[in-house]
Amino acid sequence: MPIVAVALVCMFILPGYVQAAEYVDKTIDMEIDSENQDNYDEVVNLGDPSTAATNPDTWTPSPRGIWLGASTEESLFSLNDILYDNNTLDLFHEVKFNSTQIMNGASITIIRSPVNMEGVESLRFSLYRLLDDSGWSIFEVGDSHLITGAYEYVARVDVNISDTSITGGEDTWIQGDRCYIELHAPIYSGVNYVLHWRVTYDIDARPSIYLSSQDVANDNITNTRAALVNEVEPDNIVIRNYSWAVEPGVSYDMINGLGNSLYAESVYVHAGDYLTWEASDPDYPDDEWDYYHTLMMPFVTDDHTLNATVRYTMANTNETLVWQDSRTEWLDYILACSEAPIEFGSGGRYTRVNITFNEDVRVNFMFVDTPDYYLDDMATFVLSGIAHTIYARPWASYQLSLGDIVPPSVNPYDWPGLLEVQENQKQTWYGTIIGIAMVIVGAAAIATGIGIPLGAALVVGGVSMMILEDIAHRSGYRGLPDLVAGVFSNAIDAIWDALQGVGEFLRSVGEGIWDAITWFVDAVIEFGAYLIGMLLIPIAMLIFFYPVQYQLKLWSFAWAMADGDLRGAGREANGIIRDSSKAVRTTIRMASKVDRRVKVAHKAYSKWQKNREATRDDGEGDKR
Amino acid sequence: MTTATDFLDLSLWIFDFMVKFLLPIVSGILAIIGIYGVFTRIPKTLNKWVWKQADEFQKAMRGRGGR
Repeated sequence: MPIVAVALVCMFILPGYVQAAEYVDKTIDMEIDSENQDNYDEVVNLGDPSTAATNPDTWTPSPRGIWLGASTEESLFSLNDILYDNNTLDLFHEVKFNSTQIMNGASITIIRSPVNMEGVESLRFSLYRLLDDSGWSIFEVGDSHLITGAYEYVARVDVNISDTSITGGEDTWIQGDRCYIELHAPIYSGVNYVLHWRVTYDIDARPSIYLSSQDVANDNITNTRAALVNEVEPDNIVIRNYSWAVEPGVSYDMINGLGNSLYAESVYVHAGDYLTWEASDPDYPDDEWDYYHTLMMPFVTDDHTLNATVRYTMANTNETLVWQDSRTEWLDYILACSEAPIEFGSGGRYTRVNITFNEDVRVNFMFVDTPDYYLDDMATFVLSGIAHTIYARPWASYQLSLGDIVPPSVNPYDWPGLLEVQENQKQTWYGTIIGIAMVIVGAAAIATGIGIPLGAALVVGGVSMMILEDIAHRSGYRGLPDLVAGVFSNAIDAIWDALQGVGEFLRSVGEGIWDAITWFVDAVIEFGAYLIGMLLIPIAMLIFFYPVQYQLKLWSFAWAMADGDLRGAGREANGIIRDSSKAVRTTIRMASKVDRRVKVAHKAYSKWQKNREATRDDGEGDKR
Repeated sequence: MTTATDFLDLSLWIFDFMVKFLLPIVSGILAIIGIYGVFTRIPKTLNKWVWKQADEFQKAMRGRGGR
């Protein structure tokens, strides 16, 4: 039994001790390669690494993400100069991260500045992205310094040096004598950046900077430059340039990753908070002056919806509203459209998009990296009145359209069915139809004796219309409206075509009438609307001509009375009465004709019914 | 694409044009001409009547004076 126990101990417990023993010893190799190392005010004792304070320990708050920096505590280096009223210290430092540290890159990085904040009056941090390997140096501009070479702005932050709150306030905070900047900007691995701190100090201050003995990002670049402008007297400005082969004491806490130039910002917003960014009013295509404006911007929330208002304003002091759109439930993306077309130039040169949130919710927006020299592409979340800048462009599309655009449904049950198949365009027969109507009215006018010349004119006009319509179709036009257009566009051709041979013309007349008749039958069968339309035209003409005729007779009567011609007036009155009674008689005659037809039809039906019953009775009799 | 409804629209337009637009205008013109005619005729007629009455009266007076 004891042998078994020893064997079990050997098998399960000892390997653990052996394995642990391999990792107990830790060696830190450090190469401090600096010409100025003897100038350090404070030297860290590296004799016992286990008790030495490491750099991350000095962070407030403790790092949360991938931390980069010198592993040992930094040294404070004080310049000799005592500063006068007008002074500027520019500190530049080059760095290149590698992919083993931050993979593609980081989108949110807390950067601890190497500047000792004691005596600092103002601090501005800028981040430049170098575009080539040609190197850089610094040059004097007025009372400050900038870098030479090809570069673009990534970010620029003016630090509020009175803000000491880590969780509240702006994205910067001062803790102890160090300044922390939470930078929402894309930073890539394999790209050379220059960090620039511009500091102004209170009078009588003595600038001091933390330096590190290590290569902070293991990039083999130790390029640190500083320039101090100190106005001792108006005519005595002291400028000192420093070039150090050591790193300033900068360290990074990268707390959010980065895809290839695309990343998401996740923000908890309250009702009234907003996201805003500046844009330029879109150029219009040459052919139109009015377009609807549409903004599309995807988002992600827990329930896929967002209650928000989109406002598009002129980016001036008044923020004049150009258009706005609001919904209580945007679904997966905002698709805001102006209510009416916007005239060109309504937004001025520079405009501003403002998305105001109307609910408390966590929302994620996508941002894309578009660095440029002028630092145009950035957006600001204003949360509880405090601005938080994102140094990237919101991933949104702004477009123009001739019609307004509404968010389509993403529910498959709402998708539209297949479009209804339409026949090819039919020829119009308005000319023929109106012609037929005129012929009917004309014939009626002649028959009833209302006006023979008028009736004849209508018949001739109607036939002419039908002929014209037919010529139109033969010439390749779809109907009279097209013919009219065609005559304007190509008058000689149309006339030439119309005059091609008397035989063809006569045939066309015949065929035109035939077409008209066949069309009429088809139309009656197919289109009730045509029938109603056709009835309307003669009715309109009758309603027009009858009253005109009666009025003429009435005035003739009145004139005869005024002339004192009572016999003439009597004749006119007789005429009116005659026409009226004729109309009444005609109506009665037509009604009696219809009545007769009905009676005949009824008689025929009764006869047929009787025969049918008789036949049936006979059939049943045969069966019996 | 033209349809039967287009034609109905055209017919309605013709109807509206003739009945609602042309008919009132023509009636108005006829009324103006008619009233003008009546007013120009009435004075002549009255004048004629007055002269006729005056002639009758004169004739009557002459006949009386002659006796």
